[in-house]
Amino acid sequence: MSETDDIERLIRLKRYESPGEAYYSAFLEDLKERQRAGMLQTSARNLLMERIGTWIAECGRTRCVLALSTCVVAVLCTTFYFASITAFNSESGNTIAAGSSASSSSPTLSEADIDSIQLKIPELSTRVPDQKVVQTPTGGNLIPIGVHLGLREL
Amino acid sequence: MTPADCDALAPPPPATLSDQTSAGEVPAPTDVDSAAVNQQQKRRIDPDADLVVRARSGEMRAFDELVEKYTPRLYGLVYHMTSNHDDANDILQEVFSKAYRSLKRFRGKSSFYTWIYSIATNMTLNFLKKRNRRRMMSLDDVDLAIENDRDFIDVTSKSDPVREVGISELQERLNIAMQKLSVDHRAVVTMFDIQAMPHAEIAKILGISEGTVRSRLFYAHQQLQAWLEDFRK
Repeated sequence: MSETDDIERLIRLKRYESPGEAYYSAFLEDLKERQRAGMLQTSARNLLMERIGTWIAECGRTRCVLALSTCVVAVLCTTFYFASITAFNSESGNTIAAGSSASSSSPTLSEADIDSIQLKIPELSTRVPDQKVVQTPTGGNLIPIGVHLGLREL
Repeated sequence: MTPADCDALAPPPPATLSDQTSAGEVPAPTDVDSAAVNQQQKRRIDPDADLVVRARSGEMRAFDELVEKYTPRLYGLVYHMTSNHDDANDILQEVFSKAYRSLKRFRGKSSFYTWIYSIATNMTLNFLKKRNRRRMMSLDDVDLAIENDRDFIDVTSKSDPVREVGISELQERLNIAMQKLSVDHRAVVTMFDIQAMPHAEIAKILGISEGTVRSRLFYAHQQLQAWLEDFRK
């Protein structure tokens, strides 16, 4: 006898291990009792999940493909809808901004430009007929108060 | 009839219709009612077909008969894998509960026996893989008919004559050795050596090739030889 045969014969002796006929007789009753107890404990949610699982398992391939296609189409439609709304809103905002900016064609002046602009007023003759020449205290181009200038002098 | 006889003489799983058709055992029908004739022939091939149909229609008694018929064999499978009576009982209860819930999904492509045996195997493997660490063994009693078994007599006569090998000691050593194997190796040893299943059926149930079954058996036997060396002297 080979060594393998010896081992196989040894392991085969495990067949004599048995729980006894009484166990088998009581097994069916225990099974029914457990099933009854299990049904009472099963929550509505678990039953729903089980039913869904059974329905999905019983679905043929065609129905699964149809269901999946429907879901994909629904997702795409929803995405397209929201994308179009977003695009419409952004276009409206751009149109309003473009209209307001078109009315002001001249370029705006910076503060530096403003400061560099000097109001150049030619030296004016402040002499009023029959009056003495009055010199301004600053010597700039300021026009004293009370002096009325003609257009030529400006 | 001892449990050993039951396991040894366990009927081979009924062949499927496709197997018998390819073997040419089913004659080609010529009558108009060929569909009815084929249906009757299918039922003859799978002896559980009628019970399955009745159970699916809601007849509890039919399912009870299936439970009574296959409990001993399925219990043997689960027990020899777990070496724990309580775990085997719990797992077997879950197996039949699941089989009852899934009965409507049983298409009849294989025999009912193969189908429920696959369920039991998968649930046991999942249980053992989840259980990482080894649990205390809870062994069944050994039928005293073992004392008349030729293999037992040979084993006890070959062992050390100074030390008598008791049945309990032998049982414990065998179970310890089995538990040392990985779950995959233990499964093939249980199915082939203890339940006398052919390689092809083991391969089909486990979803592996026949070559893999043979190589796992070879490796498992080598491991067991090392652990049970003193019983072979």
